[in-house]
Amino acid sequence: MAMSRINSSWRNGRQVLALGGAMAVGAFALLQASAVAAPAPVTAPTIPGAPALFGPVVDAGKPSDTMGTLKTTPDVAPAGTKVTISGTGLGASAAVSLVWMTANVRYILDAKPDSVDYLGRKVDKIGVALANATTDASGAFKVTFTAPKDFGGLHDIFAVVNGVQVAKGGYLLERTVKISPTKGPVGTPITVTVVGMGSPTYESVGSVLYDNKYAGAVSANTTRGWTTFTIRASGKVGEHFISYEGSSHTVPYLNMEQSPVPWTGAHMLKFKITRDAGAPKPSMEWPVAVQPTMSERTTVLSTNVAPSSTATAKLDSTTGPILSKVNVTAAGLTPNVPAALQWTSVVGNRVNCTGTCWNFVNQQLGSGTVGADGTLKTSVTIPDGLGGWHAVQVVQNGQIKAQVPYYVKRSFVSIPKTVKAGQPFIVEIKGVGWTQIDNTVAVTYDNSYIGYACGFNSNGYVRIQLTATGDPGTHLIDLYPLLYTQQPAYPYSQLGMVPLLGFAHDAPGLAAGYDLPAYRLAITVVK
Amino acid sequence: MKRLMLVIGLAITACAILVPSLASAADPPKKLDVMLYVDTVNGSRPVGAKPRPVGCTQTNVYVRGEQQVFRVWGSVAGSGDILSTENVAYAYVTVPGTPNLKLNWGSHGSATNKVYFWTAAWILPADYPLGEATAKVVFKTEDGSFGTYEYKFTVVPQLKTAAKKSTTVKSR
Repeated sequence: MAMSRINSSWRNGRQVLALGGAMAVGAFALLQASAVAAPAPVTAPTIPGAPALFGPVVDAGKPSDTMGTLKTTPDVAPAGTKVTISGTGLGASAAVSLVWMTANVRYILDAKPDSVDYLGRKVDKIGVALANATTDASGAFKVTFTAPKDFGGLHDIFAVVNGVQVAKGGYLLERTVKISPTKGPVGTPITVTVVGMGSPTYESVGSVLYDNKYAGAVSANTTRGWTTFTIRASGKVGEHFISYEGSSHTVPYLNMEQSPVPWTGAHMLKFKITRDAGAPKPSMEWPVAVQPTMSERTTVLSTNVAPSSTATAKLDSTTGPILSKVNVTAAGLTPNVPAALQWTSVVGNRVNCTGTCWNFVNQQLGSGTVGADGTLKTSVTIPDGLGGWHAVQVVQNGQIKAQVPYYVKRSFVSIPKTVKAGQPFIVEIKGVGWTQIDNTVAVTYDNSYIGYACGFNSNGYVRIQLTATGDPGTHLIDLYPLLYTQQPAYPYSQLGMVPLLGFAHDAPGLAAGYDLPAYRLAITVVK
Repeated sequence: MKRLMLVIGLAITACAILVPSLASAADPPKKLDVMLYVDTVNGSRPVGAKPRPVGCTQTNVYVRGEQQVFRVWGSVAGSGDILSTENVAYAYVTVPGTPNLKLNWGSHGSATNKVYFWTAAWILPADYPLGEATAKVVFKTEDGSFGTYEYKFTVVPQLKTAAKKSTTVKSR
């Protein structure tokens, strides 16, 4: 199997490329591909179940020097509450626009030719038309509205007349947290639904304590404060306490009551374990299906293709686990000339990364002779290697004529069913990637976060050695997506290095097409 | 007095930094007549809320029912004279939806550590709008010098403090 290798050192955030190996085509492509966009907020994908912005974005006007106040009743309540808002002294027969202040939140990603970095969030404050009113002869008005499904926390409400904020009110959209079911055997999936996560930094992260053990973090940035996620019931028969805590970045902010945002304090929930029905079978929970909003994919940029090429290529499937069989059809190639199919990937790691950290590699998948009509039909096997975004490239005459992105999904390999207490055991998975979005999994044992495992240096194969602990019976091991916020590290990148419990509905990678699952595993501990 | 001068010095520095950022690109440079330092502290006599464990501490977040005390130090830009009843024609604070608050000059602190500055206090009503509010401090001197300072603060509700055992809401 032929393989070309291009040494691409990663120094001080800039790529330095040096060609090695037999095929120059890869190096040419990568040099061109290095001209990519700077880190930028990414348009949030449409997430099923998440509320849309409830009204049109409008100009919130400019503050008056003689700002009055509005009366809002109630002004501390959840979304969906009927609310009355009124004002006085605004001038007779004035047309009043009520503007609800809120925000749009997007993740910031840096799509590079050989990776994707996660840089945090971008919050843009906006005003949304809430209602209109006309004052009476005394300058008063009163209208009712339904508190919108929006980010939680404080929302200023302005009465705007002729572009001027003449009076202000406010509404605290309360956070609600519910679980379902509330009882069941060990391993029962517990669905937690949260409405009213905030948009400001210190209101935008929740974290979960299960019997005072840290399970992970939750966000709802691209879902307008709404999310739903699953944890599993662990522990002995009896009552267990799930605390949904306010947080700022990853772990609970335990005295939120003393913070400037006290309404993000903990919500205590209770689950009763009824029995131990044995270890559930291994399963994988995938995020919701969304349409990615980023056109750029890791190592898959249109600039890799020879500018003169008009060839096209198609795969009968563009996503799957390692070793998937994929049919390739290409057209518009030079007739009667051999063509090769190659796989793009990288080799390296981020550990102690100060010099050369990873290299681009191309792996030949197959070859054939193009027909007289310029078409090529063949099949390839997806390599057993790194997961994430790659490309199948059609190479002819030393040039990339066409390419198609392919996403390698994570897969499960093994976990033992029964382990003696105190003995080690191995969890194996494959298809782990290398970007800051997908190079690592976070591991919890009975809902307690115990560490992470990286798949970059081991080429997508992750072998985690754990120790069986606890009383005889069922114990749960969950592997969650994790945002690797090291090497390189960026300031203010929340949610890094901990289990992303809310991965299924709100995660930076969704916009870039990263389909990252949770693994739901279990063992039976015996004496 | 040494402490007061230090505070004023810091205030002047703060104002010097702050003022350019307040001006929009289209605004012409403005002459500074008066330098102001403004902060607020939680008053020790709230009417509709529990007193905080420590009174008179600086904060910009207020629970409804608490007492907000504006504190102002200032000087005349040209002469460096301290703003006091000796040279101030009027001084007040505007707060949305509330009659203007008159600033009073007086001494504060223990008998051995008296400090003079301007103050104005008010109680946030139980139904005062939640969210961010902007107060405006206004000074005019006897010789016509004029100065203002915008001060933002946040109004939050009184929240229950007990955790709920149910599977729904409530802050603990």
